[in-house]
Amino acid sequence: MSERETAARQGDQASGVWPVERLRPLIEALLFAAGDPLPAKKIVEFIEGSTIEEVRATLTELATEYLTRGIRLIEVAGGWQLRTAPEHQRYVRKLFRERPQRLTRAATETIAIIAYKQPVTRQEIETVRGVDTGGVLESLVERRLAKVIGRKDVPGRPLVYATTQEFLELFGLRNLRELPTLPELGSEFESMSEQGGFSETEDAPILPLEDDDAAQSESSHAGAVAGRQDSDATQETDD
Amino acid sequence: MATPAYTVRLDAFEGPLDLLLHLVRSNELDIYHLPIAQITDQYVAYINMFEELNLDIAGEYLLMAASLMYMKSRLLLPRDDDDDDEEVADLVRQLADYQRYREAADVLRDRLLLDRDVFRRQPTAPEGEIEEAPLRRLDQADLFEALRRVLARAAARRPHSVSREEFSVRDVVRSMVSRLKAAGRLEFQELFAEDAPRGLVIATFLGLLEMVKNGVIAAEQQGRFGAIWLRLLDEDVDETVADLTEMYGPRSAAELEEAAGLVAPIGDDARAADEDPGWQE
Repeated sequence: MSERETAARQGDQASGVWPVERLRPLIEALLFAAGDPLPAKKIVEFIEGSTIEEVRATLTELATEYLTRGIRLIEVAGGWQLRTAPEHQRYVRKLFRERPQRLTRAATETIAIIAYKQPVTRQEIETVRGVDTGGVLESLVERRLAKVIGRKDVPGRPLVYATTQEFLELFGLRNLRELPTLPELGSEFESMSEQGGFSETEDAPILPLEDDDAAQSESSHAGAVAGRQDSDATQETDD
Repeated sequence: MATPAYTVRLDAFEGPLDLLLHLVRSNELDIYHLPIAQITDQYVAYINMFEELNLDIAGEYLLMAASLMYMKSRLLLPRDDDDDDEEVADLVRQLADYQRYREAADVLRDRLLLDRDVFRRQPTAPEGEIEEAPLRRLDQADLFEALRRVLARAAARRPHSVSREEFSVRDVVRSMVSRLKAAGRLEFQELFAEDAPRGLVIATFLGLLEMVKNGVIAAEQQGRFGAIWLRLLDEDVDETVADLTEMYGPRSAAELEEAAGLVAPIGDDARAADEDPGWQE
């Protein structure tokens, strides 16, 4: 574990107040109590004198330790979270009376389109799917897997949708960059293809929601709408 | 919004593209060299079968049938050269694109899904320790979703009645702040009395949005579907509140709803509202 030692030494130089044997159980306790994904940065804030390097090294080490346990420590939605190991799924499920809410095929298709094409309008989604998507979209917003992030600056100023933290959590993704690569169009097709996952940017700017919109005068982060497009990705990539 | 007439579900397929993709796959066809005549015949055969089975078919299916038949008919006509048929190319592109997202969706579905394959702890924050609990700061879009639920409940409870009661955002904000000062924190639902008129709900919500926007009040949520808690960010808020409330006067419920964008202004487009903010000097 030379990585660990290097990090610890760096930590020592920075502050050096936390010996490994205390940091590890402490971080474990925080993760257990938090439940939600806990960003490494947040952990550094909680533990006075700790450094991001030693916290990250400890998290990685803990994750390795958990590989042989019934609980896993995984990196998800910009943070670290304890989750049950997948092999116990059948038994753990018995704890809960309610069946897990199934994602329909329409919902999965739609959220996939949003994930890869965001920010995206309903019209753009329907162009891909070839069917009315209003109801599906509404239920995705209700389940908080998608949300409205603004309006597109084209006639009619349609709402634009993006994925949420909850989307990342549901599918166990660290960030949007971790989305599986979208299958390529056939090679015969490259000349025609105008779409390529993230590289595809619709030229019309995305407007923040305005006061006359859904009363969502987009507050302090109004100016950051462009940046919010992939905020889920950039927010807490690994810290 | 979804037009109910279109929602009749043909459960087996998600739409005409899905059906086409099914035909491509079951016949092991090359999507990039789509035999239009063959696929059209099969597609139409399916549609006829649906009709025989008395399934209500969404308009999109019929539209696709029509354009397939048009493409097929064009292929029967003599052509000057082997110019690629524009419509066919468009269809192939659409189908190939749809297929990519279908595959992406399959990959997503096969991941270890939370609450299906893997489970997390549901945190229970100790009472009174709210600041230390893992709260997620909400933005206005989140609050809006919460309002939608409040309004939906209210609508279900009360018969519609037309009233011109006047509610002042100013008063609502003042009472909100004093309640928060007294209680420390309030749950979102507590802001809205069970039998509050719609206009009052709207006024309260608008006031809350302003306060959140100006950093006077923080709205935070515990977990994904937990309660939404409101608290004052700063004890000394009187001045900000005075400034804020000056912007609003007493306004009717209808005006407020329009301002909030909860109803579309009649015979008017959003642009006009844009140019004339009216209540927000």
